[in-house]
Amino acid sequence: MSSGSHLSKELHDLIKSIGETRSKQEEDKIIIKEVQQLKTKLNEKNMPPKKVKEMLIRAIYIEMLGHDASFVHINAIHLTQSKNLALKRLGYLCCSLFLDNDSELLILLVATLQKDLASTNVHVVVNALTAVGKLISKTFVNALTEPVLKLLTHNTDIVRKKALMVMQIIRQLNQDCITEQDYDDRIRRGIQDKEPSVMGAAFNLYHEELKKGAVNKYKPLTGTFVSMLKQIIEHKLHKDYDYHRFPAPWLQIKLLQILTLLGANDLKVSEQIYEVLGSTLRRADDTTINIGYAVTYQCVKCISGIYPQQSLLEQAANSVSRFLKSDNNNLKYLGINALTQIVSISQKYVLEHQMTIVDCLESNDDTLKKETLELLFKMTNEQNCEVIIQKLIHFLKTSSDSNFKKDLFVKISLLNEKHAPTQEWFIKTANTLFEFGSEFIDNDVRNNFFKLLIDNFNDIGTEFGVFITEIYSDLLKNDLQDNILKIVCWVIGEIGSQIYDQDPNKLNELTQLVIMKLDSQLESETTISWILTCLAKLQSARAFQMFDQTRAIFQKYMQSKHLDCQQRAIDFFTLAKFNAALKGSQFITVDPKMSFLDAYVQQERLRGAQPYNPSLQVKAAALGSAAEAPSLNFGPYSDNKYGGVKTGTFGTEENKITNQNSSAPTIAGPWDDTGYNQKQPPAPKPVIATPMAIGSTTGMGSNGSGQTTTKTTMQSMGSGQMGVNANQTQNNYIPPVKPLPQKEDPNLKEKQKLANQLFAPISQTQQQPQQTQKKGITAMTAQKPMNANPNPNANQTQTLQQKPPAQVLNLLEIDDPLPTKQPNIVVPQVYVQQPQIITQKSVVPSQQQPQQQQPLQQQWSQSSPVQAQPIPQQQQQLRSYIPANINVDQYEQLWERNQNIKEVTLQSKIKSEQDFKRMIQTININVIEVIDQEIICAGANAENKSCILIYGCYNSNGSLDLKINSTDPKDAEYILAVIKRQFC
Amino acid sequence: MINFILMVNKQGQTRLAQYFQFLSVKERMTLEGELIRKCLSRNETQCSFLEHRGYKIIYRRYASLYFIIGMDLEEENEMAYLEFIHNLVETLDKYFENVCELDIMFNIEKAHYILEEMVMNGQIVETNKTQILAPIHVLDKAKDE
Repeated sequence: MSSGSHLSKELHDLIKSIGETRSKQEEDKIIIKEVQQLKTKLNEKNMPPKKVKEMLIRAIYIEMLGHDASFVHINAIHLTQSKNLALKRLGYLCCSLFLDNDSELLILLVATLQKDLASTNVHVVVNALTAVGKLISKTFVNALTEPVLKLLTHNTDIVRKKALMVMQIIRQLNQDCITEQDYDDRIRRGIQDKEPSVMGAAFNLYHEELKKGAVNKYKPLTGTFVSMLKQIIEHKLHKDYDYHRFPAPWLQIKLLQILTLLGANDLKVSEQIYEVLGSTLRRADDTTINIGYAVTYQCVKCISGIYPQQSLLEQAANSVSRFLKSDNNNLKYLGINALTQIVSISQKYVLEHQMTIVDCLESNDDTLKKETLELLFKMTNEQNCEVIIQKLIHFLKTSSDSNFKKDLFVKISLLNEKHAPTQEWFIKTANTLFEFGSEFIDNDVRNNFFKLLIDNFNDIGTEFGVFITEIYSDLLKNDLQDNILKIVCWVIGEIGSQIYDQDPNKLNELTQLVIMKLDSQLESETTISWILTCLAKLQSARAFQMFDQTRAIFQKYMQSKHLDCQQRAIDFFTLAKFNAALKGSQFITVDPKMSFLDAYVQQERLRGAQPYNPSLQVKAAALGSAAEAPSLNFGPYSDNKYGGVKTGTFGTEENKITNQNSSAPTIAGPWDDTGYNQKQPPAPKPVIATPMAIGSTTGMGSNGSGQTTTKTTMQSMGSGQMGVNANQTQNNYIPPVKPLPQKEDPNLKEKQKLANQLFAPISQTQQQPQQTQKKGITAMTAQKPMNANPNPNANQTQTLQQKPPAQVLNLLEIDDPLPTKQPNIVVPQVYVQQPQIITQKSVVPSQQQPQQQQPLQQQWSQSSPVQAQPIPQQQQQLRSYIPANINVDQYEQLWERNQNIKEVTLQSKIKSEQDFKRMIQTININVIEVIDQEIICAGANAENKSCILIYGCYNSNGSLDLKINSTDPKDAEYILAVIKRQFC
Repeated sequence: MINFILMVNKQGQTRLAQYFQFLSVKERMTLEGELIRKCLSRNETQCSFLEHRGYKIIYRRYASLYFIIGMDLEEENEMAYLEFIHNLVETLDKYFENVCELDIMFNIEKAHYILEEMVMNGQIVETNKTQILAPIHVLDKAKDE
């Protein structure tokens, strides 16, 4: 057929000459000539259809080879109106190849498409549907929805198939065109279609919906999908669907993908899948053809994606071994990827393949290498982290692919924070990482790193401070890239100046080192700003002596053309004057609590004045701003659905307001261009404090806990903002308020929570690649003893998790038989009867409520993560739980009914949905619904069937809000204890 | 989803290109050029998958012609797409009888139609050769009339 005899000589010659060209230049020459010819020919009138057709084919070539043929576009549109089927299809094809979905020309097509969709000629309809699938756009989706939906019941299978696919696009373009219910009904009819090709198309639609998260809705269909897969693997479809005698492999794969999503974290659904999954894998494993491997691979992914089952895992591991042992790199690639999946469930399967993995790392195949690094990343733990990080750094040094390097950079810093064995190692690794990946250091990376350092410094204290100051001052002696110099400056300024506050020699030494850097070759003026800021911080130290030098430097940079530099220099110069003057006078003792005002306050209180309560301000601010800008409050948080606290996803306006009013440790608070400023210098005497406070660059505020002004001043005086509002801040001095009692502020928690809720969405988007950030090196000190301390109860709950499936109690579903233990079920009025069924005790009488609420304040302090609470005796006895299968509505009803709510905020290891679900699995109850970071779960006490509802809101920084609503308060206590022990 | 399917020969000349997300003519040219260079730089023993510009690329060579599929990174089964390419080639072969590069060049619109039947909205909709070719045969008849 390749003779091309059906073409005119002209076109034939053109294609032949294109085929024979040996270089791009030659090709371009031909095409440019062709464009000119075509342009003149277009003017001919009454061209015969065959000629029009060939012109368009030539246009396809012109555009495909990179030239513009837009002058033909209109002819393509004309051709769609042709009566000849072949010409019509070519017209549509050209439109879809040439036109962007936003093209205005498309409007011209709408009428033709509408007409063709309504045609009685099936082939015309098929052509039109194919075209609609490619050309439809937001502007005219409405005009085509109706005719397309009508075709879903057409009596030709190919029409139904295409109409289904077009319906999917319509829904993607405009949700309002088809209601959710209608859409569901129609795809359901799609999978019930007697023609496998229509059914197969409908799988795509389900898969898409499931990927979007609508999992619960389709769980009841699991059985249908399972039986379809069963029929396919048993060769029940027509032979035409076979590929190399393998039955409908792509349909099998699609079904496996669907089942994976349905069965994830759901034992009950997974149990329906296990059998068919096992036989699909066996049959695929029996083949030695590529498509068989593809299905095997999908099975492995499914096995590691759904609720784990031991024998299937073994089976999967065997298949993976075969992949890995193969000489074919494609199979090795699949093997490594599959292993990465399995590792997330059990690390033991890696051991067998150590050597293969090492081989793959050394492979000359970049793709394989990358996937192997991914695997390494997933399997890192405390023991192997040094090796793995070394390996990764090696690749970072040697690679030239910047995307790959960026990825490595992020991964290494994550692993380093998570698993570094010692602080020294952590810092050194971080420095190496920064050295070789300096181009990837941006504000986020820097700020995260600073935050880690400062957190550790605050936790460990001077020792750590001296240690890092030493390391970084040593670094200063070398030539440094600007990005690293900035970090060094920050450390010296922020930590060095605190450590050596009283040590003039050290301060001089540091200052000199920093000043030297000003003379070195710097890449940008902003680096100078960092150095100046560092000097300003140093000079705020009490023992600082080099005022003349620093003042001279500031004076020099007051002339700088770089605005930021100039402004900083002016500010710091002014401050230097005051600082020097202050140093001249004797040490001033400062009373940050302003106890001299106590008498006055006492007097006012006696007269009936309100005591100061900072939390009221925070709340008022949050509420006030929410009222001001209601439009900023998006989405599902607005109603208090799960009994959870209001979690507004507020915009920037709120941030500002809460920042200024709250003392909560917000992320946005002390950050600025030059990093994280959390220094808390010795507090000056209030009277002369105005300039002094700024002199210390990071504002005032004492180290005392519960001091509410700390962040306020820091916020307004952070050195980074100096450039813009230094004048303002000078006038804005806020005197310290009356201190609160030394005892932990009960409102602090609440504020923390509020701040977390407010900032979580923001911090998450900003630091997404480093979600597990905060764990950091602080965590590694805190974590280790926990791991070392084996906990018998933890083991117990582990075994509970593997309860036989029969134990799964279906709390509310009518169809499901309840365990025989509960004979007293009355079916028709499920909702009303429920609490009795599950509790066996009556619902908590309402008189008990006040009692519950009374110790609320105590609860706050009790639940504080700082005071590790010993578990009361009676809780030590084991309790076991079973999942409850209820829907959201039922959950809400039960929540309303039960008023025993235990509410806590924990600092936990839970930072992602996965973590949270793992926790829930450990308790052995189940997840009902997940909305962003809020998760609701339900279960019941295995013995007395009393009901347990949990509302949780996790946060990427580890803060975890929990509300446990249990009929029996002891259950809540117990669960909380388990969670604290294992996940905090 | 599948973002594009290309057929490019060893000289880097595009023989067929179908995109499921719009790219301008210029962007297409750059992408195709880079891709074929990357594919050519890999040898037979290396695997048929790579990542490029945020696409997962799967390629397979038949004589001097490379078939290249570009997909979203989150697409999961590379091998299934590698075999999909083979299915495409088999379908072309069934239609053209011993397909070669020139067949595709002389009948570029037919090759497009076949692809259109197999992939819609970036998803695989049909792998059954009989079903794929049925509408194409109808078109052939229509032309004869």
